[in-house]
Amino acid sequence: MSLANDRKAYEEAYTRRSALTWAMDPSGDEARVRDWSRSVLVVASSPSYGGHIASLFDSIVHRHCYIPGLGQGETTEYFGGFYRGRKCTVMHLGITPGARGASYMDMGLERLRYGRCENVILIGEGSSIQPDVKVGDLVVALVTIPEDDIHRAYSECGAPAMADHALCSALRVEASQSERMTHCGVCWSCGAGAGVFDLALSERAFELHELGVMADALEASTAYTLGKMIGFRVASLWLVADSIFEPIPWTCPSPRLSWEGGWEDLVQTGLNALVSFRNGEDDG
Amino acid sequence: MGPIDVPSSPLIPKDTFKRLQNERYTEWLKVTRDWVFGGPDIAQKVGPYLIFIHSSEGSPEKHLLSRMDEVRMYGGFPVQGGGSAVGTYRGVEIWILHQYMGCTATQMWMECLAGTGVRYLIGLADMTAYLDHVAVGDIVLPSCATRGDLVTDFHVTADLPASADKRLLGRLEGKLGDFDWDVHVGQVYSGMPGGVGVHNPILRERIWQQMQEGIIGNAIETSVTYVESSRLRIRAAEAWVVSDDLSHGTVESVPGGAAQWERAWSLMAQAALDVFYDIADEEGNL
Repeated sequence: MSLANDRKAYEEAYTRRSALTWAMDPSGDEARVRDWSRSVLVVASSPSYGGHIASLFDSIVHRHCYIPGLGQGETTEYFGGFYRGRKCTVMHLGITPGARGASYMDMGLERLRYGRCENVILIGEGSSIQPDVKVGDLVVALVTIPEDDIHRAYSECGAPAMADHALCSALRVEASQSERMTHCGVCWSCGAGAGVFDLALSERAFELHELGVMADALEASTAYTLGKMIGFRVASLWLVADSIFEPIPWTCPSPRLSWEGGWEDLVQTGLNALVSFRNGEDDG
Repeated sequence: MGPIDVPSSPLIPKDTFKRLQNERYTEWLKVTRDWVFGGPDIAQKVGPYLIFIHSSEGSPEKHLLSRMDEVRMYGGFPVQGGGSAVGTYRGVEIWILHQYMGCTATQMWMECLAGTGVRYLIGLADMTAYLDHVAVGDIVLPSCATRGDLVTDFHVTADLPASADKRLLGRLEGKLGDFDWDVHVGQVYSGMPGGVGVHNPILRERIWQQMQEGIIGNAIETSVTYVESSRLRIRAAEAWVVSDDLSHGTVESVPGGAAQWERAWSLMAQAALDVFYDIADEEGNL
């Protein structure tokens, strides 16, 4: 009898397959990083700035690197250490250079599922659809409209995806310490290949512009919806990398802006919010 | 201390918004194309025959490049992401791209083909199979794909099917038929999350339903490739090697799985190149 005719056998096979997919050596590097901290900064990008981010830490205690060609001491995408005296973990979603998108978001969160993670701050680059949300500004996505390539796998009703309010407040406070203009409000998880610049989306983009939606925050919708299902607090912060109202400033789709051009502030704001948010259990 | 903004955007007339969006799209296409192909103005040089690899590990392009002459590589190729390669196979110029994973990424790559010389596209990748009789290392030729990608809805109505170019798929099937290998032609699902075993009751139920419908498995990027190819008037067909399945596991967990998988990639590469040679021959492009 085939699996297609035997629901019980299907369930067993699915469970076996699930264990195979997400199996992790409990004494391996990946599990050590995963279990290091309750607070995780998820970077919706390739690990291009991994070295910069690691340099902001007091010390790195555990590293895991699974990108072919990268090794110990090189740019890494997944590590745990002490940031301002507190335990914190950083995960890059990009398993390949340039990678980003909602498809990577779900894999990243699933890798955290059985660890100690409780609080997730997602950072990434967004596209503005408001003239006063300018390239280089920061955006806290309180709510997102899910129109990415994956949202219906997690919620069939199409309802807006909500960030964790308390974590958003921490982000707002920390963002106000930076020199960058910070906006807080509704974002759009737009999964079109050309993002908000897709010509087939001109009506939709204008409609959302008129409603006051600020920017495209592609991975936020999946992060909020799936994160909540797993039991994480999730909030997100976005660096505006381009805008309907300004000439496109970048030449590489991910990451689009430079470290000095915004990523440093983006990362520091995210890390500061994480360590200011939670209690002292993870203190060094 | 940076200010926290209170939204106060001025009202923008619709025609102004659309004009600006159009300008941005033009800029976006230029810089994204240059990155995708690995250099300025390379897109304008791309010929009619393109092999499009969807995010796959193990550097599968080695099966193509080793069979080609006069190979040139641009940008970051052959790492998944920006960059392209071009070479000749028996005198026919063939281009190769290798995108990173997902439906959004596929649509981005496909958009970059707009207005280029590409007329035929063969997609190669690896996939998850659902059905018992489709094993690791088997090859699947998707005749059509259930559109679970969600992003093509922006470009065409949701009721339109994502279908392969029948003649191109037939050519692939013919070439692969020359080998002693298990090849399955039929309907796939396309969408993320891509595999099975995801901790999600919606997906678990959906995959069960798809098995009842005889869907072979999940070929993530096929629906976007087929739908966008139709929109761009490119003839497209794909071949996928099964890298994991519900019954047996993954390439690594199946005895001999890795060797089967590599061999299948080799066969798909050979078939794709031979198909393009035949077309070029018929079109007088040798």
